[in-house]
Amino acid sequence: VTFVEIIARKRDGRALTREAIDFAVAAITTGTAPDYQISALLMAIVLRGMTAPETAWLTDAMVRSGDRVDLSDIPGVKIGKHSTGGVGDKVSIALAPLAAACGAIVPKMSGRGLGHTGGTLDKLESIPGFRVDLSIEEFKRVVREVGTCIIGQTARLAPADRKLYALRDVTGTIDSIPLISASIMSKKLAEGSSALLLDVKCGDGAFMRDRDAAQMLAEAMVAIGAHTGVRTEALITGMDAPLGNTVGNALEIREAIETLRGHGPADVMTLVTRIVSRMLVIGDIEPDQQAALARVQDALGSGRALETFARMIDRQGGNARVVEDDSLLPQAPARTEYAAPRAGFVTRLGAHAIGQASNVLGAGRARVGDRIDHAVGVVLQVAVGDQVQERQPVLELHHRDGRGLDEALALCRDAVRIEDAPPSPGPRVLGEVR
Amino acid sequence: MSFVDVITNKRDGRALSREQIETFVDGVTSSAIPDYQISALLMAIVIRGMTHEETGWLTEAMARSGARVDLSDIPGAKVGKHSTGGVGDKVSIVLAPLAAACGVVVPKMSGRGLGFTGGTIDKLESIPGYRIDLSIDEFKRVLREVGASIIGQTGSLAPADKKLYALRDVTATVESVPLLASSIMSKKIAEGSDAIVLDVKCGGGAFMKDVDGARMLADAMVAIGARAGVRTEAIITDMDAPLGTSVGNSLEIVECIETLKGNGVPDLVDVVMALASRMVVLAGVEAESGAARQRVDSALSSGRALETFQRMIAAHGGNAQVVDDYSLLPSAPGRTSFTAGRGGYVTRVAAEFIGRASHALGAGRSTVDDPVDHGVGVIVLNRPGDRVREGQPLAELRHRNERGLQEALAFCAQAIDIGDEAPASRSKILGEAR
Repeated sequence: VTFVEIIARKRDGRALTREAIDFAVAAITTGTAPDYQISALLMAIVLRGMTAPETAWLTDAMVRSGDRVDLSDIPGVKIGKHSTGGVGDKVSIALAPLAAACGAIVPKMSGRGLGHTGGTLDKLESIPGFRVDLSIEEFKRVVREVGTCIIGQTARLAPADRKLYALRDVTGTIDSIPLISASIMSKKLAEGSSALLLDVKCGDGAFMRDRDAAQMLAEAMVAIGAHTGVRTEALITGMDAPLGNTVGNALEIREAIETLRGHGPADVMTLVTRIVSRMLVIGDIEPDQQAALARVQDALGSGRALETFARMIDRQGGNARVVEDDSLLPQAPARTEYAAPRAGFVTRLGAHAIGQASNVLGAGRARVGDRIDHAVGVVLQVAVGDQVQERQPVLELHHRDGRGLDEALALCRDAVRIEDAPPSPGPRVLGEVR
Repeated sequence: MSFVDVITNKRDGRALSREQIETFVDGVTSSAIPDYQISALLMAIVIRGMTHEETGWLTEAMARSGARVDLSDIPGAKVGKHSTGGVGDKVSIVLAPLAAACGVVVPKMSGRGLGFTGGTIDKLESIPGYRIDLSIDEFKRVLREVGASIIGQTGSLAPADKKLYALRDVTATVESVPLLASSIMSKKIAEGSDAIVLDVKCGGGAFMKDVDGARMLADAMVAIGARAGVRTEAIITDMDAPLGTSVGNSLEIVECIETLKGNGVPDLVDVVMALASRMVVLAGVEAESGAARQRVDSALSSGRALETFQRMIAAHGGNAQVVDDYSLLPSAPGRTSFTAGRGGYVTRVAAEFIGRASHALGAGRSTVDDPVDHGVGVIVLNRPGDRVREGQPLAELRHRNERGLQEALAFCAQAIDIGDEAPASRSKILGEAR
């Protein structure tokens, strides 16, 4: 079989064999397949689709294209978590220590922010001294001692995916459920967990704009997990408005700490406890959701979750006192409010525009390698459904000497809608796939 | 607008604008667009298709990507001809002098053979001294003096097409009616003719295997011609069996000369006469096909067509005495017959396998730079419908020291079927498009 024959087969809408997929991924990894052939195959996959077995084989071949983290010598059930990314999504930071405090082992590799969404690594790096670039040995030691550790993805995990993703980005071949799901799952499976909980975001501030596409992506990923023997469940959660009240790196760390104290915003509390309780169930730590929820409440109420976070920070070189004294986190020197232009009900706080506003203040990066400002960001003063008076503060912008402020305020105007009638309330968790 | 947006437009099934297509072709020509983006767009075009309008814009942009031959200072109507390629297809070599003898100016640029189909240029080069690499000025002088000239395609015509074709060949994006049609027509339009006749081959020995595909291609090319102001007509001809009796370079030249002497086999003569008549009408030499046909008959029977061929050979530096003395042409010394394994009717002579047999003997090339042996080839002694006895020779193989002989004999066995009943007779001309 040749690469051209594989392209032609997919072009004609036929399924590829496992051997053909293995051959293609090997050729991509070693560089023997030129980029122009790979991109032709990618476009054929985008337009012709892939069956569930093809998608699972692709995932498996991408996992095998690089190292797989071996966590077998760490006792306990290793449970991974992944979010498809949103605005204000600090769930992982609160969830990892909370789940660890409940007895789960949570080895987590995360990415950096790009575009309007933030990245877990960038947020953690706002903690003075925190290192995300641990070696695999250091990573495993922290996981063993603390029960959790969050580091950056290493280049040796799923290198075929890395190569494909870079090419998809510049050839209009991102939008494909099989390719997206195989990309996410190949990295997660390479991380070596034995169970996996996925948070598929859906809405204005997410990659998946509509509910049906999010459902399909969630189902595809759960099917890949089943195919490869890793118990996988997905929650589909709304991302029309930012999650919680803060957007921006240090601001979100503050909110994660509040959440671990049990005083986080309602939507963050709900999502974190829901996800952790599912993790405990799929990890066979608790037999059912109710028992799992009780364990989660105990870990929060007893302070063990916050204490676990402090230990994780400490083991990763960070200043653990931030959990008691948030003035140790970077703070922006200036604040400007965006006020309600009229009275009424807040019907929309557009996550995409608020994410961009935070970015232009300096919290995000436009391209890989840009420096970010950990202190700046946006604080939401109201929630969707709240009634506001004219000139009441809606958003508070934390900025550095006005950098990006005008653009951010313009984005806030796009983001906020106030109307006469209250919106119909929608749940944060839209569905789940098991 | 970035080029990725152009790719996603086509990926999502939308028609591209004229500006987008021009940006694409300019970027291909200047190498500003990387190959991996070009191939992604090509695959999207293969699967999503193109409207007639888009195909016309693509053709024009490719024709304008390089030089366009200016034939306006040559008196008379210039009519180009193109065949999509087949086995034993020597039509152009007979047709060009024949139409010229009828008063049509026939400027013809041809390609070399690759794979199992032969190339007009290779066939003409078997005539001692014949030069195919005339400059455009020499080409025009021959056209003015003789009325017909056949040369090789110059690299400066439609360079965008050249580049796209090379990429399509290695990305499984050849099979697309809009891409095939625009590729052919961009070169033909750049050649500067006032009108074009097309011979779209269809069957086992052709690129288009079925009549529906051939008809779509013919219609697409006729539409492109109309849009570009170049009157274009097409006939669809059968290529299940080789055209004429001979396959191989000098063998086909002999058959061409015999045909110009009035001794051609009916299938070849039918195709030549049909095309020549259309060219005479398109050139405005005759108003309708009956009169055109008479003029063509007279050019052939009077010997003027043969004489024009001689003058064309001489003007290209070749030895024009070959028309009277075939021993001046290269001839392989070895002769081996392929004989009938049983008695009955010849039911099939598969062009593709006869082409492969000739190729195995050395008449063709596998890669662009292979040398060809002008003296070898296959003479098919029987046509479908002929009654044969066991042991009767069905084909004569001309070989050089048995090079490739066993392989060629095996291909002949695959090519020729003998059955108990005569097959239904079928015209070589299957349809036309105007």
